[in-house]
Amino acid sequence: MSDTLPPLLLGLFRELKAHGVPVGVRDYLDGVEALRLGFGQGDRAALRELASALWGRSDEERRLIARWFDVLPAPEAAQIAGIDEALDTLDARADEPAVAPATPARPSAPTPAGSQAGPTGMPGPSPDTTSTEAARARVSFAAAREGSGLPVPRLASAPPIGEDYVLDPQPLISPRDLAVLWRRYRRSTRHGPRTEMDLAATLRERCRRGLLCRPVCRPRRSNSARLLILADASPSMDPWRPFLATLAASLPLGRLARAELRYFSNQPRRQLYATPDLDQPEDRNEVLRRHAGAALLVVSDAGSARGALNRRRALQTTDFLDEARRLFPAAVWLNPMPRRRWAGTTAGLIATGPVPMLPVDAPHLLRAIDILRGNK
Amino acid sequence: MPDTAPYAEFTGTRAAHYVAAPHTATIVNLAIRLGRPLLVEGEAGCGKTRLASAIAEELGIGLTVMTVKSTSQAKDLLYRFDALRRLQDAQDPANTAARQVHPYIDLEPLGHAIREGQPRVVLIDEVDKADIDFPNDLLDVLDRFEFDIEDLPRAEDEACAAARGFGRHVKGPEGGARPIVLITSNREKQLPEPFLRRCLYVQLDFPADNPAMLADIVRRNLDARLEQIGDELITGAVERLCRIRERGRELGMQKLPATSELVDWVRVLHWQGRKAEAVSVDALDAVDQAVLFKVRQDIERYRARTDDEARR
Repeated sequence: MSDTLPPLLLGLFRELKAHGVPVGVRDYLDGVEALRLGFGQGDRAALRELASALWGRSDEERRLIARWFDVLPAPEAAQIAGIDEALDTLDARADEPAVAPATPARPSAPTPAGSQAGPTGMPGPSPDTTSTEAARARVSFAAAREGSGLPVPRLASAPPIGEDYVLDPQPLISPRDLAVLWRRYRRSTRHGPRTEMDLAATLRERCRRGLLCRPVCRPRRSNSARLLILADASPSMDPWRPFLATLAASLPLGRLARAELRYFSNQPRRQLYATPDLDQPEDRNEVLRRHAGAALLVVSDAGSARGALNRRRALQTTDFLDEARRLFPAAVWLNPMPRRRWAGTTAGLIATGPVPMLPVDAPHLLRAIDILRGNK
Repeated sequence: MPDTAPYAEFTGTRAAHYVAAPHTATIVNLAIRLGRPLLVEGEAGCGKTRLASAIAEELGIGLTVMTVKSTSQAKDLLYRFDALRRLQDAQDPANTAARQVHPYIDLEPLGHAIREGQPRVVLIDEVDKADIDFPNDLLDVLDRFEFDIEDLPRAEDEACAAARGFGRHVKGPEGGARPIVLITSNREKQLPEPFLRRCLYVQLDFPADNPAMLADIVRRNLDARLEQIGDELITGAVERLCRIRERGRELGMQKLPATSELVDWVRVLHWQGRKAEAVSVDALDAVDQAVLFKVRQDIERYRARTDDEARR
């Protein structure tokens, strides 16, 4: 028996690795062993089930595996049957008079006057586009009737995108991972009621007096780390609303001594709000004073989502941060937009200010917590 | 490779009160042969916990159940150190036992199962209830089936082995069998990635497309003295429950009635002497609702829908 996977499963294994699924040597060996033991024999469905049980851990991974098997060419027997069937339908069609396709794909997209330049990101079809290229076009634009407005987009054929449409919202980061992050942010001190027995002191007491009256107690060790999060809930942050919700949900799991999430719109002005819908306002300085000495985390795209540059806003924000630095020994700004989109926007200006600005991904979140803990 | 010879093949149909779908049985066998823990997920009431007892029953081996609590720590499954009793005993100068730690250490079910090395099914129930560190702490133990008793001083290793039969490092005897480990989760909390990687995964679904299997499950779960329950009642109830589930799904119910509700319902219908034909999916009475639905909003939604249809 060989100690390698058959090409079909090896291909799948590589595909999973290429998609960042952390399958390892052990998973590979398990696949070999399972085949040796006789699992996954018979048809493709059995093989698919085996792969799913061995390597699929999340819905996303199971979807990857399912897709791998879906796009495989059919086995030979089925393939021959399929070709026969296609030939039959072709013969049948040859007898009929030619019928025009239901939605003719227009090779060129005329840009009507008054509308903006054609859709960005679409390769502009040249006037001499051949019919084969037209068939490949994802979206074609039906010619606008005279006097009408924008052209009507039509899907000429199924989009040749190599992936499924994922319509379930996928979290940027799971509440669990965030909770784990919060737990890294620790400041362990003893305070509160004396509830824990101090063994060393109890023994000392016993030696000193010769008898033990009662155990000596000390306060339990607990986390005294405090955190204030200021999150931007302006419309440009709408794509990250679920992330803000995750942030709010993860805070109670983080076992921090005190953590609070407040919202603002565009920049922290005089008032901060208790909900993302900007209800229940409270005076900004009141909130800041209450949390003095804690760590400050600001979450905002700072204009980089829309690519806006507003020097006034940048200056005001930097002033606010300067002021906040007096009350908060550690502060970090998280910007959910990728870093390359900051340049030339308000975010770019703020990033050069006193508070470090980091994008939201696993390594940078770790770095953010590190800064909040005081490691500059 | 792990020693898996002591386990026979699990078919999923030989247990007295349980029927497993063929693909579930295949994955169980795969987990047994590869010596990996099996993570079981699925709707509440679809028999996640019962799967473990079915495996134990069919293979004729013992079952250890550990239900995880929100305060559980991984150590609690392995051993327990009774420090309080030791402190109490230490007050008595004549009590020399209290000078050592090992008399106060007891192995807990998973620790026992590892030390004995006998074929056995170990069920860690509702792992998602525990704190988020719990699965990570279990990782190494489930990987190697060995653990250290950290509360036992190294100096007492030999004394403990002589007196209690286990040392500081606990592992199974040479050539012993690895227990079959089943872990159930209700997905209340997300499990850590390395933990998921160590386990094989099976999802138990409600077999709505297989009424014959459902009827079989009901028959196996009724008490022996209720044998006189007719097949019409069971097949009728199965058919109606599937329709109720369909409607519940349309309504976006939080908790759809599953297998355990089905069994209860057939029992209730029998006690009340009702026939399945007499039950209308559009007009469930209070008893039926109490048996089938578990969430108040679900009952209200269902009622509103049926009232709506009646008015039309």
